Amino acid sequence: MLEIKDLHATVDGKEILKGLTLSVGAGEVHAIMGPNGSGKSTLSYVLSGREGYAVTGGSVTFNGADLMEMEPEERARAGIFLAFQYPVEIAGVSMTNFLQTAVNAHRRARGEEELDPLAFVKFARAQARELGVKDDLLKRPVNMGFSGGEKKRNEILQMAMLQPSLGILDETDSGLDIDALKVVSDGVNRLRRADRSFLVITHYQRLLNHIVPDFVHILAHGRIVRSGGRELAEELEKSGYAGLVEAA
Amino acid sequence: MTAVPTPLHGGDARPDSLVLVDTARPLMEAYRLARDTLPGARHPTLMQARDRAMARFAQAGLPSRRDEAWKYTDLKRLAKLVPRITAGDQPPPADLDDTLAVADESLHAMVFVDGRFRADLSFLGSLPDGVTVRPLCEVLDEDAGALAALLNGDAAARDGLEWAALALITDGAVVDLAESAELESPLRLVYLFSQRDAPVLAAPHLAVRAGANSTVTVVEHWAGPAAGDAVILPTQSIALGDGARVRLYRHQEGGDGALHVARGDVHVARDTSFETFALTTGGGLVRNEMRVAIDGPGVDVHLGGVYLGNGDRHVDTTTLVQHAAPDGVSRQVFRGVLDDCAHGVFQGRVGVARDAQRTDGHQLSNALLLSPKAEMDAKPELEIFADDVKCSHGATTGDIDHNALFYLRARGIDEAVARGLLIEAFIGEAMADISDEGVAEAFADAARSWWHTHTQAQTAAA
Repeated sequence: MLEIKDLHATVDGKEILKGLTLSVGAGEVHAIMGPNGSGKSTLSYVLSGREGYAVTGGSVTFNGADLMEMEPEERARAGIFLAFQYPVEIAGVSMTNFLQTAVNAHRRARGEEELDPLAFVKFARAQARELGVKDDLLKRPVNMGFSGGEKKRNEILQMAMLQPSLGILDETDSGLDIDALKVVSDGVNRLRRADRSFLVITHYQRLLNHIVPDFVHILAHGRIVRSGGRELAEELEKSGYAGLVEAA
Repeated sequence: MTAVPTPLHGGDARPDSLVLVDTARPLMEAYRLARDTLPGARHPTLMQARDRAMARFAQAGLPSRRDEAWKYTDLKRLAKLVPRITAGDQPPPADLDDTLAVADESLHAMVFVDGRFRADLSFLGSLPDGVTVRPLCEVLDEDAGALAALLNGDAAARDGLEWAALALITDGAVVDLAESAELESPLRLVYLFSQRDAPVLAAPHLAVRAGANSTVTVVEHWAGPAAGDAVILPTQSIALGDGARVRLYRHQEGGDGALHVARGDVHVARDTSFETFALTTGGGLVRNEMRVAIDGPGVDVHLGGVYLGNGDRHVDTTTLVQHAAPDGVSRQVFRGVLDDCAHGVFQGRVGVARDAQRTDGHQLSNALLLSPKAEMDAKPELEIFADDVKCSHGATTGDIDHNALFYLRARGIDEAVARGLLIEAFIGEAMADISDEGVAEAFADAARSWWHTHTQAQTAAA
């Protein structure tokens, strides 16, 4: 599904990813763990196509297509969803307007008929209920005045509505208390499917107690320095990054 | 034929040795040619007043960028045009029905072509008691003095172009409301332009005299011209009696050939409520100038506007709110979106006289520049002589929020659509001040349609 080969990327002329290689198969959950500054967020932004991240080498293919050739919105419609570490507040744009525009952009891309406002609101409410999100959230401007937990839940709600084939969770656990973490993880687990993969980017192991990965990779200095099963996360919890990164 | 105030082709110079400024020539000539066809032409006193106003223009010429009030707006383009006043008798454009489609069954609409009233295209329906709406030409037939106060004003108070606009008044609408009279559905004023080889010159006037506790909403729609040049010099005189409520909305659209300099003078008395909002989506050079004199205590004045500029269009908003009485609230919110090489100007001035205690005056100008070549000049000013006041002003100019843009695109929304959403949100904060729901909706649609047309043109050009 996702093939990253020897990926090099720079931000402001500084090389952050230095030959990252990773293969994610359909339905797999991969955790990317790494210390601060290892390139975790850069990886998520490079995959989602954010401006200012220049790919200087290597390749990324997604379901056979060259991902780096696509605009951010094309990547999204092709099935990549980035759950933001810091969801952006947008004054004056209602959640409903935003989500309806997004959902219909995806439907158009799939050749499906667009949802009219009534059908959309029905759909959105059902999704919100399923994830335990209050539907008054849909009436508010995007992320405006949302608590940290609400913002992250809102990301998962959007993921549920857009039905991606690859969900990238960028430090979704940051700033969440244990209850919110549980709600968010439950939401993600509910979305797990045989044809949907996840890239869970995190600093801490605790998220992986809730979203159990199939594979764990340690990212350091812009490269994957170790890969293994979920036991690798536990090892990391005991020994810390220092031991693992230096050993590599 | 009565004497024209100044010689146009040399020869018979007048004894008072008027200095004719070069930039005045084209408008003087247009006046000379059309003078005897203007409303009230058969009243010598009125025509003498017009002549005097034109003479003042001849002396002053067009304002230049050396004049403080015109520092950011260059009228050089106007000086190059040789416009003509028409009889306004051309057949209306085929899409007139579309223009009026905004209206419903309770329609009161006056239609002007090239600034001349067209009875055949207008329908005023039945107006409630105490409300009269008449074309200026008809009013002048009965009362030649109707424009006297306007044309005999203080010479120093106006610049040359405004004197020309008054001397040239091609027709207009006169709205009178008796005490407590109320016009429920908005009065629509539709200004159309004919397509001609020579630029059209139109200078319609709007007079609103709102009696005590009366209520009226006026919506001006300036449609065009889509192609060709036009010099449009509207003037307004608006007076609100005690407790009156007046809302005045304006939408300017049309091609880049339109040069539109509008002047409004508003006097508000005790406990009045005055709201005005201008949406500018077209015109090559536009200046909306509004001066509000707060003469009575306890007023609530809202001035607002949204201007959307692309190409090399220029949109200037100039306001002067003068608080002369206590306990007045004035609020100004203007927002602009400028793309390509468009140029925006905001000059806002709030004056608070010594007796205007407890004045609450706010003024805000925000512009979004979508291109590195777009430009914005903002000059908010406060002049306060009272000591117990709450006044603020602010001006910001910025780029679109790139984090927000990426967030929307990362959800599969096309860049142009995402920008459109952000722009709509940005101007929405100014639009929120429009209290008439129908107008708010129509203006939001017009703004969306501007963005749609603009981005399509950009895509086609790319």
